[in-house]
Amino acid sequence: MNEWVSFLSVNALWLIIVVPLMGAFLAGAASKLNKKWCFPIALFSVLFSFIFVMLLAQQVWAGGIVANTVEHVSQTTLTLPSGSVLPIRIFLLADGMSILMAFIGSLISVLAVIYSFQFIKSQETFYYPLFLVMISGMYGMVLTGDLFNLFVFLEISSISATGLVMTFNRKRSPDSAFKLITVSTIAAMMILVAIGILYSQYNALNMSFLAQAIQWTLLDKIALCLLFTGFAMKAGSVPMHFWVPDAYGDTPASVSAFFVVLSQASLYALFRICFSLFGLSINNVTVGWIIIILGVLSMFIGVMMALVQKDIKRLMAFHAISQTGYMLLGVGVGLAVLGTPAFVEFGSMAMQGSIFHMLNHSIYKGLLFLTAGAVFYAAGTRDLRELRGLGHYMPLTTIFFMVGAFAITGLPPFNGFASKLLIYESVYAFNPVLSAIALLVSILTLASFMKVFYAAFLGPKPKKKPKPIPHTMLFAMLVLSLLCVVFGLFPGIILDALIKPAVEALVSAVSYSGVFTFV
Amino acid sequence: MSSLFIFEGTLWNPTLFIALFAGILTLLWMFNKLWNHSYNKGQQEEPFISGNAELEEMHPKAPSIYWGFFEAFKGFYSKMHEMHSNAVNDYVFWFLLTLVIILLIGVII
Amino acid sequence: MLVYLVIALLLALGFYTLLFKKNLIKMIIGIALIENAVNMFLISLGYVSDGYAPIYTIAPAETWSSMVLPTPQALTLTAIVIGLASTAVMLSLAVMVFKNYKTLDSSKLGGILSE
Repeated sequence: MNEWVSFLSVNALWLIIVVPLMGAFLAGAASKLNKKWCFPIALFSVLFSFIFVMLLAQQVWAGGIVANTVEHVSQTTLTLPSGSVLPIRIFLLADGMSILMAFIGSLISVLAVIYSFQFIKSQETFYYPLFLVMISGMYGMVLTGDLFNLFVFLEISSISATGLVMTFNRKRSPDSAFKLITVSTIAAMMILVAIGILYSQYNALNMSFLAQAIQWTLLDKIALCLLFTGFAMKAGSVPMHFWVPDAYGDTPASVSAFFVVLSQASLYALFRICFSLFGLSINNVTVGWIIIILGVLSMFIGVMMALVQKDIKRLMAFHAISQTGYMLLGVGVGLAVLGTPAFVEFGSMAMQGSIFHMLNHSIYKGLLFLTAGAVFYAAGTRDLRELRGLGHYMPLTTIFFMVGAFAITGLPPFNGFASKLLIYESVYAFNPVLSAIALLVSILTLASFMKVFYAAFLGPKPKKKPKPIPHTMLFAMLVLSLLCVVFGLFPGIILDALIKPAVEALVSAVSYSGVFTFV
Repeated sequence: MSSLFIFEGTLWNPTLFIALFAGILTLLWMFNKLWNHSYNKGQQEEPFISGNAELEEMHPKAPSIYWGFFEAFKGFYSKMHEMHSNAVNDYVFWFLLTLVIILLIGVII
Repeated sequence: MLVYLVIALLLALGFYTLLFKKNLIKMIIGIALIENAVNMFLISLGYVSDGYAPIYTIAPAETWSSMVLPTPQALTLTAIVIGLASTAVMLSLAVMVFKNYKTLDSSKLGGILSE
């Protein structure tokens, strides 16, 4: 028994990625015998990953970076075992930022699987295996230390996400899925070109080895631009955001809640590249200002387009774009002042605000998508012109929607307030105009959510009685709203425990680049 | 910049917030006990429309509640609508445009 | 040098197809062109002039010091398989689009938006 425990704890990194993958194939095979076995297998594998992410988080916060090469045992020391000279093998690496993203992903994946028990009634053999593959792809993207591995898991998650768009086979689904996969493939191809350029220069694909070997030549600049644009496209920032409302709008609600986490994993990859991979030699003012401009455009255009929509999921998808703008703004400010004394004053706080916003955004955006799914389940339509008066029959869903709407606009006792306040104050110290735009976008966000609340939940009673919401869906929404309230009331604890290690891990390129040194 | 941290200290006291919330809820619950609940559930709960029949179109549809805002921004929104055409070609065009701009900025500066 | 010209030409043709052709199948062919260009780029990185194939048991002993690098070949194999998967998914989606809309023209697919 003891050797099982030590085996599990030593190999936790790749078990987190592999168990959902094995669960996907097991669920696909077992569903041929009996369709009811899909859900328990899915729930077990997702819970397993969740527990191991928590155990790994303890290790990372206590002892620094945890690294693992697939053949050898994991180690926290700095030199690779003897006999290996070429830094080309599959490395897995978990530092503060990676484990935070894995924590976000595990939380939302557990709740999405619980939610989809009653939501997906007829397509289980199709849905659960693809969902588990997408979850495993997300874990692979955030826990890897190797560039090509990042590309492979990026493609795994995009292709399975495309399959999941087709779960409810409506008229528009193949069109949205085609757009999603075209856009994802083009972004991934550009990323592969950049990986090829970096490999040709330095004969290495390992991110921490590259971090200490990169000099700022012309080809490196081209690789950075290609990587940057590819990942910014996958994250949904503005000039390339057109696929987001189509893809988020036509999927089932639990998948949309997980797409948010996938976009944030792409955002994590972007930050990893800008801070850790190119960290010691980047021209941080230029790249920081590019990120700031993308962020401001995303915020503004996202919310202006969200006000006009008539479909509840498309509206929330545009809000996802605008909140991604907040994250880009904060990290851009942090990057632009990196290395100067202003970083200690307000740059570090901007980055803490952005990364806290990533955590909060997954929680409240997941909650909002799950309530939109509940509205669709109850009333059978997603069009805001035909919904009315659901608050008479669904009081709990109304409360959860209100919690989510208040959290996204940044009202005080909820978690949106904490992260947005950090972003407003630190960006104000950098440049007041940006902070004013951020505040204006908050007000417009509130306006559009009041519109949705009015249309869907207020008004006279609907003609036909809506279907009652099953308990598993209510449970998932309840957990998310409780997290909204708790993270909002005690933000200091979350900042010290989760976010500050993440920001320090991201910013200190020196410690990241020193993980794999070769004898 | 010590004023940025208002989470520690006396301004942000979560137990105070929870206590206030619970206190106000108790107060409202006590008011509810003292209320006069004698009214006809079915009849007297409906909104009063001066005796007219309730039509289907009485609940203003959601897109029309911000009409003035949309009218004022009509030029902006018409441009946005034609940019959000549903064709994949435009999506790839915007990606290439952003890539070219970022390459030019990144390589030159 | 010629390799990089060919790769750039293939990339340009692929993007031209994606930008200006409206048929979905032509767009899929454009994406396949881009994938081929990127795979060719990856393979060309490992070239060593007058190198031998990187297999220790087959190569004669005097060529062991100048073998073509094997790592880009592994990367390219992975990329080819990924390209295969996404092309298969894209083609089946094009079939479903035709079944639902009766047309494969990408500019005509935009009429169902509820905006």
